[in-house]
Amino acid sequence: MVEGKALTLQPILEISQLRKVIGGTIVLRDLNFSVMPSKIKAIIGPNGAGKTTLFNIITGMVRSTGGTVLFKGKVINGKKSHLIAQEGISRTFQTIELFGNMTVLENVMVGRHVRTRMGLLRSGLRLPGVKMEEKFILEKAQEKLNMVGLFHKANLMASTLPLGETKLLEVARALATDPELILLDEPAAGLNETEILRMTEIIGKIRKQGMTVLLVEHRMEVVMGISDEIIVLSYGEKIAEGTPDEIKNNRKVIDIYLGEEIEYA
Amino acid sequence: MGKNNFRTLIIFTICLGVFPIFIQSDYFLSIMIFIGINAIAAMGLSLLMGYAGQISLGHAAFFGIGAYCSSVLTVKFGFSIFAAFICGVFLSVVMAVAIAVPTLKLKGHYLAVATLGFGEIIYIIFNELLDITGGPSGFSGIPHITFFGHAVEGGIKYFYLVWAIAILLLIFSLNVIYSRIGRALRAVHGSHVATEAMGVNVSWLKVQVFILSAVYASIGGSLYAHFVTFISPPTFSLFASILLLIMVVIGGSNIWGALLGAGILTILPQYLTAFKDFDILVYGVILMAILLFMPEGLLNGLTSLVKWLREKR
Repeated sequence: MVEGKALTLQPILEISQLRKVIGGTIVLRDLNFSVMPSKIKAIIGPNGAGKTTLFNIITGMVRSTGGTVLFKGKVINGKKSHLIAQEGISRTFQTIELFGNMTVLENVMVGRHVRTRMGLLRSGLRLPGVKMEEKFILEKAQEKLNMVGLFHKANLMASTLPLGETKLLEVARALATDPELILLDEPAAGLNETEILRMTEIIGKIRKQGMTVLLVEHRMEVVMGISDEIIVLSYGEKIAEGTPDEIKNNRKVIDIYLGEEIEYA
Repeated sequence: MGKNNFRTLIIFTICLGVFPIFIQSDYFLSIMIFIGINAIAAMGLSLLMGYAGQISLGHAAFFGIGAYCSSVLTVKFGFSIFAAFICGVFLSVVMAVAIAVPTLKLKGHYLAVATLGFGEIIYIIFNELLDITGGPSGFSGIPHITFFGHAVEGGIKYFYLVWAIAILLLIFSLNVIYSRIGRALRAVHGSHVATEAMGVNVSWLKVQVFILSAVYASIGGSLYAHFVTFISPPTFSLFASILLLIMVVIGGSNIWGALLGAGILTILPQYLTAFKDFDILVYGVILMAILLFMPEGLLNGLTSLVKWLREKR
């Protein structure tokens, strides 16, 4: 976590000329944008605009065809996922990717893996430090569960949670890695109004703690309500970038994505 | 390792501790020794299969490396048994790294194919290096393990030695399973992409578990060689690798299941001799029945059965 860290004027994430071609189709077309620390930046656009591909490239799950991704001034594209997580980027998934064979608490404890060090030999021999580290993992995991309001479900199997809570659990697990940048892929999709409110509050809390949020979301009331800046993608191309008010009134965005009749909460 | 495991471990250790007090027959003790040796190899394989989700079709090769290293180095090169033991483990680690590093970088069951080939290569080496391994005629005159000049020959002493090592490896395995490493391994079963996104180097983790499982097999092989004092290549063939694999599958792909599987598959052939020429047939039918009615393995199947009976009451 970066609570209390002094804000710098340098972007935490810089995407330059990012390109992804899959089987002759251009999924991302020379994309450029940057994200400033402790801000919430949303990426919106119709299905197939390349939003999730962008997340997959940033987190090392997919290789870009060209361009660079700089995180805190260092090039990270081409790096493996686990190394990018070590650098301080974590994410949630559009289609839930929980560890259904483990408890809610264990799911979040896996998130601590990246910030702990005891290897196979030391763990097997229970050498000094193992017990203390396990205690530390447990405390941190409980803290994150508490933050998303799932502490009372810690010992349930993750596969038994309803959709709304699985989304919260993914957020808690991502937070357990102590990220500086968290990528939330449609966190409000499929949630009811109460759950959306809860999710919005949690995203607000994340920002308050000094983390930067990159958000992909279709629910405009969420996007417009919490984002500092919005990027609009269409067919892999950036068609607009600006504050929520600027985006709401952008003619091109209204024509391609938002439509005339939408009202935001 | 959790309270339940700790309790089971204590009961299991006490049962083993008192076993020779009640049963002193050399025959039963030697069966228990073979169970212990197989259990060591099966536990390693269970970590690989049940937790890392990988299959090895060549674990008998590591068992053989341990056995031949211990035998050849003590008999032909005058190594102490302990040093020969360590050399076996070291060679197994080197071999395991050479196989696992390239194959486990890939997703899928490439390790199964690689270990199948590896097992065959090692089997051929055992057969063809006549001057060193004795070839198909086997290698005899392997010394018994000695502690401070006292030979640990068959019977009670070897029983305690084998099971002490097995229990230590069981504790080690349980510690691994209930650590951050074990959690990461179980997470891979749930979601490979999410595990990597959480900062787990999945392929390196699998490599480590494969190496560990090779070490277990090598230790089992060394203990086997110093117990039977004669080894020959068929003991380490593909059939032996498959047998180890069946022990894990029948038991239930978890560490306790591996112990149960090793026990059943070591004992079963002894009692099926009553069926004379049909023993293999009956053996096959029993294994098929277990997998048919308890696809999750005996341990999980029996646990579910007990739960069901309790609920029915």
